[in-house]
Formats: sequence, C-alpha cells, structure tokens
Amino acid sequence: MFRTVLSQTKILLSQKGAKITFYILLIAVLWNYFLNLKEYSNVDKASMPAITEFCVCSGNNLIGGYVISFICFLVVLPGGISFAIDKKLNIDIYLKARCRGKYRYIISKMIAAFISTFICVSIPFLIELLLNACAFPVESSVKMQSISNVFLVRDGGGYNPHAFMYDAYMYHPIMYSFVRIMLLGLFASSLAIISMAFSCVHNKFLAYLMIPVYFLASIFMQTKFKVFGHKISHNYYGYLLWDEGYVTGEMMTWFYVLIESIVIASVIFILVYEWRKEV
Amino acid sequence: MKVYWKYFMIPFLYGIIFSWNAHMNGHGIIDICQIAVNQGNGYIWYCTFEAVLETIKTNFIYYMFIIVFSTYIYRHFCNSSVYVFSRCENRMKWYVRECLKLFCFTVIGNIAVFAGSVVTALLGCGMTSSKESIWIVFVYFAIYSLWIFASVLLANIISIIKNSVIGNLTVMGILNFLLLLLTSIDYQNFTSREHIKMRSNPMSYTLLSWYKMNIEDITGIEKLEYACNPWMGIIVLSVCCMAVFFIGAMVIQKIDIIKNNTDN
Repeated sequence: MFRTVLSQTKILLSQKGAKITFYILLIAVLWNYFLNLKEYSNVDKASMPAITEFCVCSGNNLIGGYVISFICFLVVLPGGISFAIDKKLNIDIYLKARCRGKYRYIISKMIAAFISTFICVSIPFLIELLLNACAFPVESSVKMQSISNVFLVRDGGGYNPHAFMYDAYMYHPIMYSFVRIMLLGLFASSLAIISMAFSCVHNKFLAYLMIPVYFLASIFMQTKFKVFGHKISHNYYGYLLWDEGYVTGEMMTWFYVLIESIVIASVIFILVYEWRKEV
Repeated sequence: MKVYWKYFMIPFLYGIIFSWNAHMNGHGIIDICQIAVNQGNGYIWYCTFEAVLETIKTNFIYYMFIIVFSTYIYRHFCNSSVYVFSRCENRMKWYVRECLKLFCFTVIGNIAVFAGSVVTALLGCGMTSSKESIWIVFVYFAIYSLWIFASVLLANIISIIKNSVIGNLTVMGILNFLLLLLTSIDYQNFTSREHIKMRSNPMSYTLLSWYKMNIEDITGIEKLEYACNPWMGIIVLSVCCMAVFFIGAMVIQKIDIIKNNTDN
C-alpha cells in the first residue's frame, strides 16, 4: 500500500496541474517577498512589524486576498481532477490491476491526491516563511517594542485574547505561521478530496469539478449556521488569512471539524459509489 | 440546451441564500433597486483591500455561473465537432446563433439571482418600486449581463484552445487581477492620469456605486467626482463583448477538433 501511495503521489506531482498550482503560488509569495524587501529595506529594526505580517496570508495583504480567493480553483488541479482523468483515459483499469485491487487503487488515489495537494499548497508558503525568517528580524514587532505595549498585549487591550493561538501570534510568530500554513494545506487537501468525490458522479467536463469546492467556499463567505450545535459565523477570508482579531479558537476548531466531516462523508461516498458500481 | 436549464436553479438558490440573512432579519420595506445595488457592488466607494475582498465575495455568485456556462460552446468541440461542423454550412452563422443563445442564458441567469433575492425580500420585509428604481435595476441587468457574457465567452474560447479547467482559471485570474489593479489608483489625489487608469479598467464599470444614478439615499455614499454615465458603462462593456466575440470567431474558424482532449 505504501509503495502504491508513493508511486501515485509521484505521478500526481509530476503532472502539469500540480506544477501550475505550485508555480502560481510560488510566484505570488516571491512577488510579495520582494515587495517587502523593497518596502522595509531602510526601516529601523524597532519599527518593523512581526514576521507574521510579512507573509502573503497575513490579514491586510492584497496579494494574500487574491491568492486566497483563487485557491479554491487551484486546489482542484493537483489531485482533485486525477480520478476523473484516469477514468476518461481508461488508465484506471490498468492501475487497478497493478494495484492488485479496486479498493487499494481508490484508497491510494485519495491519499495521493491529499498528499500532493498538501505539498503543492504548503511548500510555497513554507519557502516564504523561510525567506522571511532569513531576511527580517524574527524577534521584532511594533506591538512588542515598548513595555506599555507588552502589557497591552498581555491584557488583550486593543486585541482579542480569545483569538486563535493568540499567544503564539504575539510571542512565537514562526510557530504560529507554521501551524497556519499546515492548516491551509489541510484545508486545500480536504477540498481536493471533495472535488474527487464529485468526479465519481459527474466527470463530463473537468471544469465542473470546481463547482462543489466553489460552492463550499461561497457558502463559507458570508453565512452563519450551526456546526454540531455551535453557532459560528463563516468567513472564508477570516479563517484563511492570519489575523489576531477575528477568528477565535472555538470558531476555528468547529470550522475544521465541519470541513473534515465533509471530507469523511466524501470518502465514504467514493467507497460506497465504487462498491455499488461493481455490483 | 435542455441540459443547461437545470443549472438555473443554482443562481436562484444563490440569490436566496445570500439575501436570506439581510432580508429575513431586516426592518422596514425595501426598494427593489436596493437588491440591485447589493448585488451590483453598489457600496464600494474607494477600491481598498477590504473593498476588493467584498467585491470578490459578491462576484462569487456570478463566477459560479461562469463555470457552468464555460462549456456551452466548447462542448461542441469535445467529441462531436466533426458531426456538428460537417453539417454546418456557415460556421460563422452557427457561432453567432450560439453566442445569442449564450447571451440569453446570461440574462436569464442574472434574473434568476435577482428573483432569489426578490423572493426573500417579499417573504421577509416587503418591497416597493418606483420609476427611478426600475431604471437602476435595468442598468444592473445591462451591466452585469454584458460583463458576465464577455467572461463566459472568453472562458469558452480559452477552453477550446487549452482545456476547460485552464479556461476557467484564466478568466477568474484575469477578473480578480483587474479588480486588484483598481487598488493602485490614488483616490485622494485624483488626477486625470488616475482617471484614465480607472476608466481603462473594465472592472471599474461593474461597480454600480461609480455611476451617476441617484443611489445616494440607499448607499449613503455622496456623489463621487469620478462617477460616470451608465450608458458609458454599457457602451464600454459592449465593446469588450464585441472584442471577445471577434477573437472567438477567429479561433472557431481555425479549430476543427480538439486533439488529446480529456473533456470528451
């Protein structure tokens, strides 16, 4: 099984879709990085913002807003459409034979799609984090430069102390950035699995595989509904862009619980659908 | 053609979902043009970061429509183009007919989104209309139908050249990028250069608040110095549609069948 997953992941990563996603995100982060270098080249260390605010995904970054609104299309490319392409080109028959079983093929395909999307989405942001950590002072932050500001931050004055990973955002920016990048990768890979499930039912046009992902993203844009009894307001940009104020830990947890529940339902749907087809 | 009719439920449901909160919890009767202003980005004053995100959020309804109809002309090239074009004496005539149908679908899609919002308004808070508000609704339909038509047609053409996923990605990328360019305008120091920068960007014509239309009572935005006549917006977007139409005509005359297509 491990070998099958590995070979499938290698195939997916070598395909054009994965490369397009990776390079679009890489260009965006490098563009942002060079803009930051230009802007802060003559700025004193004490007046610099925290490292989290340099990243593409930071709250008020224009390129970040663009990338996040675009990411719900991009996630389909590395893994989401792979299942449909295999079926269309009839490669799935050979792959099922080589994987020694239908279910081994499907499960390995899902894991490979998950991993390849995760890699394509998170690696560019990790590269950016590394570049930022090398270029800008990690410990500096305007919010922490004076003792009065430190007390203000500690007491939550002007900020929301219940915000998601508030302490890490203020005191351990690199750890915060790393966790948020991992969460973004998880979100993207989950969306890829959802579009994969849709490809079982409808794979006439590959563009239509964007519809379920897109529908979910637009539902998260500006709606308010309960998730397992917890009423949370859904704000797509609020969850994916880094901000110390808007999203609380509870909201973030339930948002990911909702997403992962949909993913589990999608996986069950794929398995049941393929099983019924066999019958 | 029958296949596409069922997809009109999507914009209708979108209209209901996105207006539900505002209309069901709203107080007082609203004017019909308020719905057009809401769906036509009528609350954007300056194009700041927040305004761009807000605009993208509103445009999400229309992007879904673009995805669905991005295969309308392209599908003929997928697996049956030989049969379609061997029976077609004049391909240009066929293309014009398909474009007209697509435009009708675009208008109907817009009406479906609007109808969804009207339903929630009627159920939730009640609705009035006047001569002035009908004019605003007409402008909204004209502007948004032309804009969406140009985008859908472009997505179809790029799909024919590359594939449907690349077609959609390119169009969404272009639309969002043009919106992003509006943030580079210096609104505080609005010189003639900034004016040219604004008016040369087709996305600036999709914001209803940037028209001279007497919607100040609704939006609370005072008259903007850079507001333009609605007819100008309609003309510019028509020119965009014509440009895309002619590019499409050239592409369609050259391509007979798509080789190695995964959408067949």
